[in-house]
Amino acid sequence: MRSVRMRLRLFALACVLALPTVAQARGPEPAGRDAQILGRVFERGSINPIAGVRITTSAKVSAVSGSDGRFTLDLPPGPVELVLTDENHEPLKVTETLEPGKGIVVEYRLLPRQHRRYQSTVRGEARHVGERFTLENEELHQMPGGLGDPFRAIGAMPGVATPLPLLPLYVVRGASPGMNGFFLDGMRVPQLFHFLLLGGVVHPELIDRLDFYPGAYDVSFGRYAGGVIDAETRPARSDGQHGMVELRLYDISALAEFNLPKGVKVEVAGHYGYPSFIIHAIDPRVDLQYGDYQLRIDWRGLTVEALGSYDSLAINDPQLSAGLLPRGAPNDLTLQFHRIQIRERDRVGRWALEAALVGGYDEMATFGGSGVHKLSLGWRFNAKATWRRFRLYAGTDGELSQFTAESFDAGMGASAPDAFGDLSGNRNGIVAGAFVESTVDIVPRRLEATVGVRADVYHANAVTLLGIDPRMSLKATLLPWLALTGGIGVYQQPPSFPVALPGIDTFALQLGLQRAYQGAVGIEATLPKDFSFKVTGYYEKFENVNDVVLDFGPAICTSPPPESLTGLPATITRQVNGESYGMELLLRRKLGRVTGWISYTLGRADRVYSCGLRPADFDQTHLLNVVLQVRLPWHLMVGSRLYVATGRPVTLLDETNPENTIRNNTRLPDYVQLDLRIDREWIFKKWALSAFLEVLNLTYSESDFGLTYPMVNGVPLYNMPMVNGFHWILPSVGVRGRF
Amino acid sequence: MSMLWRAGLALILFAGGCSWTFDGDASEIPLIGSAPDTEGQPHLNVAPAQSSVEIVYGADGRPWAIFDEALTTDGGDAKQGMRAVRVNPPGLQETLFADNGVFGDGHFYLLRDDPADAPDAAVHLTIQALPRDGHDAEFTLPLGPGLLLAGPGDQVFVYQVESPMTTTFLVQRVDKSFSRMIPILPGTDPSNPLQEGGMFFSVDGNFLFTQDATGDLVKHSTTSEADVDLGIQPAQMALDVGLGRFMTCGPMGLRSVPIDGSPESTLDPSPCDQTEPIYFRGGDVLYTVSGTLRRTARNGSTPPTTVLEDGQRLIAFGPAGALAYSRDPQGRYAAGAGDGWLSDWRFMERGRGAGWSRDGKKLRWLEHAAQESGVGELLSATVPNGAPLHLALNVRQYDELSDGRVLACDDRAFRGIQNRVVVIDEQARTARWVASQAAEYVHIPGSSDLLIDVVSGPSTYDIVRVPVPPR
Repeated sequence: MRSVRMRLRLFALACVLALPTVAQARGPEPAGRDAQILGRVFERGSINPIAGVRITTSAKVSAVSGSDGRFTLDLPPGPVELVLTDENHEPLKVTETLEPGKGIVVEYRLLPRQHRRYQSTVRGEARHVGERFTLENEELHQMPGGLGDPFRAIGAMPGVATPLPLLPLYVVRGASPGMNGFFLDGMRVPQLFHFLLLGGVVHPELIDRLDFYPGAYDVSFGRYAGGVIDAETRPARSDGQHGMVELRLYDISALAEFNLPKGVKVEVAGHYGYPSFIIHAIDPRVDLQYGDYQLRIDWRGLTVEALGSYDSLAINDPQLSAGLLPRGAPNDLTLQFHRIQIRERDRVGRWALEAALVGGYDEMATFGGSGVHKLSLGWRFNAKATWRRFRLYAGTDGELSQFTAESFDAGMGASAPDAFGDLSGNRNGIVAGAFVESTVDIVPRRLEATVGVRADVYHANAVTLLGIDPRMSLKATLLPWLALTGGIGVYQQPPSFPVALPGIDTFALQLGLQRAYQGAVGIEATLPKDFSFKVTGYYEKFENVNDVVLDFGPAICTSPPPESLTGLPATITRQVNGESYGMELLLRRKLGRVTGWISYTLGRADRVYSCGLRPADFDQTHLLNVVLQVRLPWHLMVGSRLYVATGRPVTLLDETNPENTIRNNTRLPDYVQLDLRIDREWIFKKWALSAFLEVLNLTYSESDFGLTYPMVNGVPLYNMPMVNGFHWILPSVGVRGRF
Repeated sequence: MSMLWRAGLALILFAGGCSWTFDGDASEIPLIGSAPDTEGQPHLNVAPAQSSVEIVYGADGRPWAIFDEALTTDGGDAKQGMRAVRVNPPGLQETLFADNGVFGDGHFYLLRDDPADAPDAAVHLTIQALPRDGHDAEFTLPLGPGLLLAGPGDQVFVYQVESPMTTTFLVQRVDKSFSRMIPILPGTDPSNPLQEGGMFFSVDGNFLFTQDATGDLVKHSTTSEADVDLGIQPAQMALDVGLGRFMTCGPMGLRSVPIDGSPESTLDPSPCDQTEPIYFRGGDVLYTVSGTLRRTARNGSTPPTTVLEDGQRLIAFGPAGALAYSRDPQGRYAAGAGDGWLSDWRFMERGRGAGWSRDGKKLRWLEHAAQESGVGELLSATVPNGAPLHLALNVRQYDELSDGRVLACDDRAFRGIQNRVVVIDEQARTARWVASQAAEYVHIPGSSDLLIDVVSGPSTYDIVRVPVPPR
């Protein structure tokens, strides 16, 4: 499709003399009898000029647009053909006719290339060592089934099981859900999604890159024993001002980017969710709303970030809440967190330095008026130096925190502040860690080894924990297109809740550290046509981990809760040992018109229960993800995601001897889900409009949660088990305007 | 690589995976011994029990254990029924089925409904002794749902069909010597008669007292048609059996109302708070006036005195007239939890179940019990101002044995195999196992043994008898 161009043509000098204002806009007087073109190049669908566009002419004269998109060409009179080229835009060919001694002022608008995404942009070496799966660009924001949120893409990554559909319970290589860490620009994120099911708490367009480390990563990540998801936001773009507004059925979001004098860049973004009007169609007594904000200011190496989130769920019917709440108790559930980070990155000689301070406030108030709020102050300092064949990386980080249990609406009703047990107790917490790591090129560009160790200390109430984690990894480049990687190490963390929630951390330290010994070996091949293939084997051994219980059916073959826990943690947490092992296959294409990946995981996660080693409650043997995105003409993109998973284990009670049934002796039905997404963009002169339709679970598959047994004459019939589940489908439609 | 570097690397690898825990809050009373195999002991149940065990007294005056169980009918089908096992002395047991029923004073009241579409459908009541003596009393009553009240000694009962069409209710002597129909209580909803009104028997069952929505208290004979109107009385009242009169608490103050209809007397003319209960303690009665708790002699021989000020809610009686109170209003926290004070000593932050030890020297309570389950940390402190001693965690029930040791069902954050019953010796600073997988316990009257609800399945139990280990 040819780009549409716009041009202004001025009249002859006589007209200019008659119209002084028009003369202001007229081109300059060329020297002699030559003509002149004064031009400016913009991107179509945007108000921002494009720098570096090469303009060649049939008169063998050329120019390059400056940072403001302007260029000047002195040309002989007569017709002249101009060609404008730029690597990120479709070329534009125009013909202008020039009169002797006259000039023209023109504007040209270039159309962005459809395939410009995934063209590699070198951002410098990775900050962390270890096997890594990276998502960028449209993979982050338009992955089918992701609802536009980068963090939802975690569920489609190799080695990741999602035993409860829609809920952000991620089981990475058999580790318990509470063992995964989520970082955003180095900050630990206390919550990923609004109310666990809705949109992400960070505007997706801010996130530039998401790295997923499933295991065997280096010592720079600490205080987690499972996988790590590390996301980075980007600063405001340098090519001018930008803005975007997106409207969906149930929320609206906006983002604005500013380039200010002195090189200051500012980015502001936010969401506001209003799903109540949809919920009211089902039940008018329930109100749900949420919102979030982000602010980022960059100036040279200094970055100031502020972000926060707020969720509120209210039940406005005393009869509805009577079965759920103590009489007269407040009927709101609110979650919120706020962070502010000041970060400085600098280079001093061969040293790359990063220092940051993070302040935070978290609050969780549950139905019944009980909850907790947390004040925190964190720090982070890293230093990395590179020699010819040696790299040294060291750092420290930590956090001081004050947790205060609250009865947020004291006097309004029978609140239950002890229901959350250890999670809501008053306490002051201190966590701190330090690490040092060295990477040696044993054989330059062929064999590289990384060895490191970290130490972490935790303190709350009268309990102090200390952990030391050594780790090492190797990378051998056997051929230019073939690499072998391996890693092994110890990963320890304090007791954790299965889902990330504000104000829920640094508790129950008396349970001791959770520990995982992780090892992984992989072979990665770069194939023709921008394909890559990877096969990885892993083994993990777990000690003292806090597993979440998904199946409360078996009362005998189970593991008892830790004696020292009270309230909700005692009900849903078990402290167990176990192991996991498996193999991951990944075929991926990142560049071109057709991109995506196929990942298959064959794995097993076991836990030691009172009746011996059994499959874990969230074990899923086979996991298949097929993600496909196709760029079609007319700025149309179609994507799909096929997800197939083995059902997780459940316990089918023996009708003749139900009390002695072995745990997890059968499985729920296998699950197949197909998600579809269609995006269409219309690019106008100064702005662009997108519309998208996404449907999750187009196959209307049933999500199963467990087994139940009918009661006849007051007696449960164990010979007639019924699968407990529901069919669902989730459509999402929206429009987006940007410039 | 130098030797020093190798040694350092080896040390790190050796220390790898090491972690250390320094716990300044470790338990002061360790649990010694190994868990007994309670589940492997002989059961009172045959099939899994489907409810907790209760102790009732049979018609033979002996304690019996009763619980629901999946029994086999004569047709070979499994059906929920009830099993009753005599526990002191052991040796007798019975099973029975019913659509509905209650247990009175040594007798079962078993209700079986005819099919609703059957002609002249009715409900059949069988009053059956425990143990069964062959002299069951059978009655055919109008089809319900119905309200059934058993009288003391199972000599009389009340039955009312809960329906808007109901106009009368039945008072029936079990020996069929007499019955009468009484009009439903004025101002009450016949489909929910006790919501606005009240009914209760006298101790000997010869009279039925009713109070209608207006407060009119009437004494009905259950052996004749005689009635005595005792006048409009407050809803808050208690029967003083010893003096043969009611204590009423209302706008006219604390009053004594003889049940024989003779003139009433006023013990305290100050308007009495009807939302607060009346307590009998020895020869005194305690009642609330304008938020303050007052005390006076039941026979009116002493003037009223204030024992707790406004804002102080009584939570436990102690020796020598001591009263533990709470400054948290009723209902502030779940499970009735609140703070606890003795004089100006705040011994409890947010708990329930406070009580004195037998020797009156200690207070014990469940701390941090403000949650729906009411489970809390069992603490003990010397009176007054003693530092609390942690006895057990996640305690649901506890009581003191005659030898001063404390019996507790702990590790009971939720029902599961981790539940246990332990006996705690505060003097020796030790705790010992009594039963494992124990969700609840009851004492066997006349014995030092316990009956344990042993968790055997998702919702089932085994009922096991265990001794309490001696000191």
